[in-house]
Amino acid sequence: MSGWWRVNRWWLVVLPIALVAMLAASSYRLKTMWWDSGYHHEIASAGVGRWAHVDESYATFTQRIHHRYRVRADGLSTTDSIPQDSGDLPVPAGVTAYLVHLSFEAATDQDMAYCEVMLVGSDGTVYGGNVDDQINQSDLCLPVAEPDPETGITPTDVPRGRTWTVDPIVLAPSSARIRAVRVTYGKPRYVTLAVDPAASS
Amino acid sequence: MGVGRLISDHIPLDHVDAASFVHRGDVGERVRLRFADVTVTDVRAARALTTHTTAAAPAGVFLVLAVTAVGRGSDQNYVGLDLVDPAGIHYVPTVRGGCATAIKGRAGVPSYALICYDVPRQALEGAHLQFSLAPYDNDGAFQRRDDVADIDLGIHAAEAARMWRTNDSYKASMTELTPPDLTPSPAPKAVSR
Repeated sequence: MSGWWRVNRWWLVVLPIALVAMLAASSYRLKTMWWDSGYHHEIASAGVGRWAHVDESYATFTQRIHHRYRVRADGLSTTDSIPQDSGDLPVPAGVTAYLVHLSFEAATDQDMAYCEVMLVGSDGTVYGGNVDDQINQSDLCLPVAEPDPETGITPTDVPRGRTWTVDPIVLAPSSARIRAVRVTYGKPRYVTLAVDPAASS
Repeated sequence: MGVGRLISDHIPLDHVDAASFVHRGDVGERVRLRFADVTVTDVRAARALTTHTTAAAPAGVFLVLAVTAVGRGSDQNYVGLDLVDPAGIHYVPTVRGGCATAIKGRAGVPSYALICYDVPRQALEGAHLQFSLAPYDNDGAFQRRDDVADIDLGIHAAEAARMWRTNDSYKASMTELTPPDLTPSPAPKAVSR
C-alpha cells in the first residue's frame, strides 16, 4: 500500500458512510415533498369485477391507522342529473356524471369514513378527489343516510353491516375513456379497481 | 473534497433562477398553463353583491371577474387569485358577498367562478389578474418555477371612472358547473351611492 492510501485509509472507510448519512439526513425532503404529496403507493388492486383486499397498518403524526377491508368496483353507469339539496343539478353538455358502483366488506367497527373516489382515464388523467366536493357529496364510501321523514334532518352517523354498497358521482369530460376506479384514504396510498373501458365509452 | 471544491468554485450557486413561468393574456383569451386553461370571460363592477339572504357593500367598489378554468391532469384547487394594480399592490378575493375565494378545478370539465375584490379607485385602471395554483406570498416562493397567468383586465381610464360610479348589483356565485348569471340589477338602497 502506498503512502497516500495508508495515511488516508480510515478516512476512505468513513467516506461512504458519511455519504449515506448525508443522503439519509436529506431524504425527509423526498418523502415530504414528493412521496407523501401524491398518489405513489398502490396498496391493492383488482381486475374487473374482482375484490381488492386491503390489510395495512401505518402511523400518522397523531395515531396509528389500521385498515382492513375489501372493495370491488361493480361498474359504472351515468346519470343526467345530480341530486342536490336545492334540487337536481343538470349535467352540462360535454360532461358525463358517472355513478361509481362500489361494494365494500369490513368489520362493523372498522372506521371507513372520509375516503375519496376517483376515476382514472386511459391517458392517466385522474378525475375527482383532491378538491372539496363541488356537488356536495359528503362521505363517499359510507352508506348514504335518508332524511328523517318527520324532521327532514339527515343523520350523520349511519349504522352499517359488514357489507354495503355506495354509488358516488364523479364528473369527467364525455371524451374521457375510463379504465380504473381509485379509492383512497389519503395520499400516498390508494387502491386501483379496473373497470371495463367499454362501460365509459 | 476535490469534487466538492470543484462544484463550489465553478458552479454559480448564488444564481439560482426560481422565477415563475408567466403566461400573459387578455379578457376573453384562453391562457394555457401546466395545470389548467384559464379564461377571464367578463369584468364588471358592483356596488353590491347579493345572495338569497344577504347583500354586501364594498368599502371601495367590488371588481367582479367571471373566470372559467378547465383542469389538466387532475382535479385541483386554484388558490392563487390575486388582483394586481399598476403600483404592484396585491388584492386578494374578498370573503364578503359570497363569491369564490378559490376555484375548484376539475380535469377536463369547465369550472365557472365569480371572483370579487373590494378595491379602491386607483386599483381599477390597469389592473391584472394573477392566476396560479399556489397562493402568492411576498417572495413568490409558492409559485417558483411554476406557471402563472397574468391577465390584463383591459380597464382603461374612462372605464375605471365608469366602474367607480356604478350602482349595479350582481348575484354572487362560487365555483359552479354552469356560467354565472351576470344580469345586473340596481343596488339595494341601503348600499347605493
